[in-house]
Amino acid sequence: MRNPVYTAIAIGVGIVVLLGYFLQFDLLVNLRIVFLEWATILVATALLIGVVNLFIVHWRKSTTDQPNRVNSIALLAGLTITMGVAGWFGPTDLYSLWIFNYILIPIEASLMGILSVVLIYAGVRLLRRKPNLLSIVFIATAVIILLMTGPLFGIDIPGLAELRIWIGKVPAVAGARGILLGVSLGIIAAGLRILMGADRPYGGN
Amino acid sequence: MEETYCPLCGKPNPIDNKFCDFCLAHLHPQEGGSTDSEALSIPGIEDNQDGLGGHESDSNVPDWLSELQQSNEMENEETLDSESELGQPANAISDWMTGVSGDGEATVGEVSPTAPFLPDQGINESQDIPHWLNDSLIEEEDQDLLEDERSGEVPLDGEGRDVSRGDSSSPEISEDISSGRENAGPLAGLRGVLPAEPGAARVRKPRTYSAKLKVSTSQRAHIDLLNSLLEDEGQPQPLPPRRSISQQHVLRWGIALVLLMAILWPIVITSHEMPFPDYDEGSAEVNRLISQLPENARVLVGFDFEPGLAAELDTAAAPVFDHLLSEGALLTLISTSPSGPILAERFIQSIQSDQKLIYGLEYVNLGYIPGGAVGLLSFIENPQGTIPFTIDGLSAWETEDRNGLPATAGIDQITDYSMVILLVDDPDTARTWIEQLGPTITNPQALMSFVLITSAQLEPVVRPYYESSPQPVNGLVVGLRGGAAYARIIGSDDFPGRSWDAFGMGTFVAALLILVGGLGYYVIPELSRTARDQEKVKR
Amino acid sequence: MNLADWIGAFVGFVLTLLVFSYLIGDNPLFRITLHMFIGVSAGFAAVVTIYNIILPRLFVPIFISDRSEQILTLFPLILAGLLFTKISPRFAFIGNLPMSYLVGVSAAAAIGGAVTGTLIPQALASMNLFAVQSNQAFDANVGLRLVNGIIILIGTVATLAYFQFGKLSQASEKTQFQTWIDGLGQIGQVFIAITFGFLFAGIFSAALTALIGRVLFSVDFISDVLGLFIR
Repeated sequence: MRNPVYTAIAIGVGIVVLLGYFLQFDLLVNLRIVFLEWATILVATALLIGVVNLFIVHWRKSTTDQPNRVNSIALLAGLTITMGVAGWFGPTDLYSLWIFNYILIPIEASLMGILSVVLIYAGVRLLRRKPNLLSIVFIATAVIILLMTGPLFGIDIPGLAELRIWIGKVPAVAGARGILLGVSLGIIAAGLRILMGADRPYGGN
Repeated sequence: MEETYCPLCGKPNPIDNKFCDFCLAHLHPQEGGSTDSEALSIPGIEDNQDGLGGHESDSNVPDWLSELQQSNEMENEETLDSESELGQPANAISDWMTGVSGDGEATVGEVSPTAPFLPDQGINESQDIPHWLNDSLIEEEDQDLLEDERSGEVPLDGEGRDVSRGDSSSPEISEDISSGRENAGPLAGLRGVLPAEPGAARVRKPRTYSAKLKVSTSQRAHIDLLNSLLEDEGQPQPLPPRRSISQQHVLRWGIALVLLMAILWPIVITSHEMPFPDYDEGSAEVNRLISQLPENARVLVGFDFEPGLAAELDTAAAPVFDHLLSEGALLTLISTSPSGPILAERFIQSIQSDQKLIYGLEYVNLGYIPGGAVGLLSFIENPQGTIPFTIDGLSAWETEDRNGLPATAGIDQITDYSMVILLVDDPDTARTWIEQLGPTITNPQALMSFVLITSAQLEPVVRPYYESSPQPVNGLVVGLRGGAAYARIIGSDDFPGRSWDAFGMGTFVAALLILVGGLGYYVIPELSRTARDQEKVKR
Repeated sequence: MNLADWIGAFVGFVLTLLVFSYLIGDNPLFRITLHMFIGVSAGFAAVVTIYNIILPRLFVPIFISDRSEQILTLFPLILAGLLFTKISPRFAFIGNLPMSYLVGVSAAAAIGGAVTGTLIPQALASMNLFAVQSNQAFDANVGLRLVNGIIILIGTVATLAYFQFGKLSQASEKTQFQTWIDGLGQIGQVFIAITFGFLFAGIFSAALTALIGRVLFSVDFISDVLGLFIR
């Protein structure tokens, strides 16, 4: 729905918050603080809406006859039990921590554990799929860093430890700095488009 | 006795009669002037005897009939003209004749309006029609059909059926009309009755033009082929038998098995044998900064990692917090991730066996700041307004109308903290913290340091900030290696040796698998291909 | 260990096995476990948000604060209420108002952070590589530091060239400038490969530590169970 009011709001509050980085007028600073506080409350509300929506979607799925309804029932069970326990006793209570320690962490940590196998598998297949200079550089770097990140049984290979430090401090820093600068330029461009009203991801166009 | 027929009622009369015995009509056309009775005499027979002529008697024809005749003649002349233009002989079978014959008997009647007055043995008898004219009586569609049959074409309907026969209606006229017998009304049964409307003689079923597709036999064959192909496409094809265990499966299982065995071996069988790292620059810097903290320094600790990486970050952070708490630091815990406050609480409980921390007095858990960069900026600008209460609902800060907690006493703004420690696993989260907090840290007037305890996956991303000048990040403890290095620096024996040994074995085996497996996976197929090529050359 | 810990350890052990079953192949039990994980995570997120933000920041000030604070709280309360219309597709357009507010503030915070936290400091850091003072250039390794500084500078510019000018090089006829940029981008790719190789090793190290944590947990649980029976 085209509404210039939305665009004006986005540009107005955005300019106030952005100017606060560079100018320190009392009025501007106070206004900026108020805008930021309201925004944090709205983000929290948005998160809550996301959870409500998740519940609604999976409630519908679980009440209709479809093959994956068991998954939705499992999700709803996890959601309601957690909300019930953590909501009643508090999120940092022992009962809540029990769920956190024995359900959430085992699952997520195991998923991360699987990733280690998948990464080796990808590394093994890389040279087969893309046998070029960049792949060789990639694999060589990864192997050197891996060997020198662990203790390597206490074996000291001359120059390898220094090479690991040098890679971390010189070429990797150069590449990462270039990437960071590129990312920040991209963020600035995207943000300015919003503040100029060219992009309206809030439904203003 | 010779007889003549009444032109009006059609009944036989003696040839000598001047008037019909039945209807009193003139039996012979009168010569000379016109009378009332002349108006009834119709020059039918004479007109038809000279074929389609009869122009000399036009004066005796009533207006309506002469108009009809003229229109027919005009049509015929036009047809003849057009045929002449095409260079065809005028006596050849022309379209107008074909049209006449094509329309059958009804058309004969059409051409000569006097036909209804003729006796049954009139011109519509086939024996009077020459053979060339008889041929032209074949219906136009039948001719088309013959041509089709000669050329191998068969008219088809939409479903490909033969529709060449019996679906086109030929123009017909009722037998009663053609024979001139009235079949309705008071004159029913009478012959030669003039139709009330001349157009009635033209009554016929409208010609139907076939909309059927005409295709040749070869096209028909292609249609059949296409149909069969489409039918095959619609049918679910049986999948080729899938190999239940592929090469990739075997490779993945092999890697998993080798890796698990490599990890299990130091955990189950051996004791701690692997040495801790000698020196790590980032860890040493953190150690120096913590050692320089004043008594009861306020330290803000951000717990911004996912529960899945708790094993790595808890282990890496444990020696740092041992050192920090031994210096008497008071902690304020915060997070920009919803699971962060629980991770913080869990971590504090895990180190409780060594450090008896009292909630509110030595540490406080402020909980969760939503909004990423927005929330963090808000907290940096105004900590008390952004998170006024702890996660337990206690008033976190000392204000004019509320008593705060001792752990946060004296904190009005972010620069009142002596140090900020961030436990982080995500590049974006780390970047957000550094970007929002960096300008404050690099401000020479702020006596505050910022150190990171990160997952190993973050080292390349945060190192450019650490290697910068001025430094937005003052110290760096990276992963298990950084934690082990820190434990060695402070001389702690609590660092889990089993984890470190398993980590050493795991990284070594992984490097070996990638190197050997990758080369083997690449070289072996290349060698076999070279061997095959050589065999081909030999042959 | 008390009973709750025993039950918890058993549940954790079973869940670990269920997730590891993915290594054999995708299966329904793995998917159920995954969905349960999503549910638990969402549940914690919702409760923490309610406890930490919604109740103390949105509702408590309405009842216990002074008039000015109540009025100030009314605005976010109304905006939050409007945001809830996003749940219904029919009334979702009403939620565009708070969304526009959120997007404006977030964009400004992102721009400000990127400029003051990354762009200017990192550009300065690249320039300061050759500053004699900051590099303590009078020590013995001055030559090595300068070489490293040159490598970092070339690598940074080349990486940036690869990312920022990658689109220009698609043109059919290249100018001399574009040819230079392309050449620089080729060098940049090598630096990116090194950085990603480093990143790959780091991610593997993190995942390996998580795997070690689960293996340690499982071994401890099994040994505890066996210890019960042997005892």
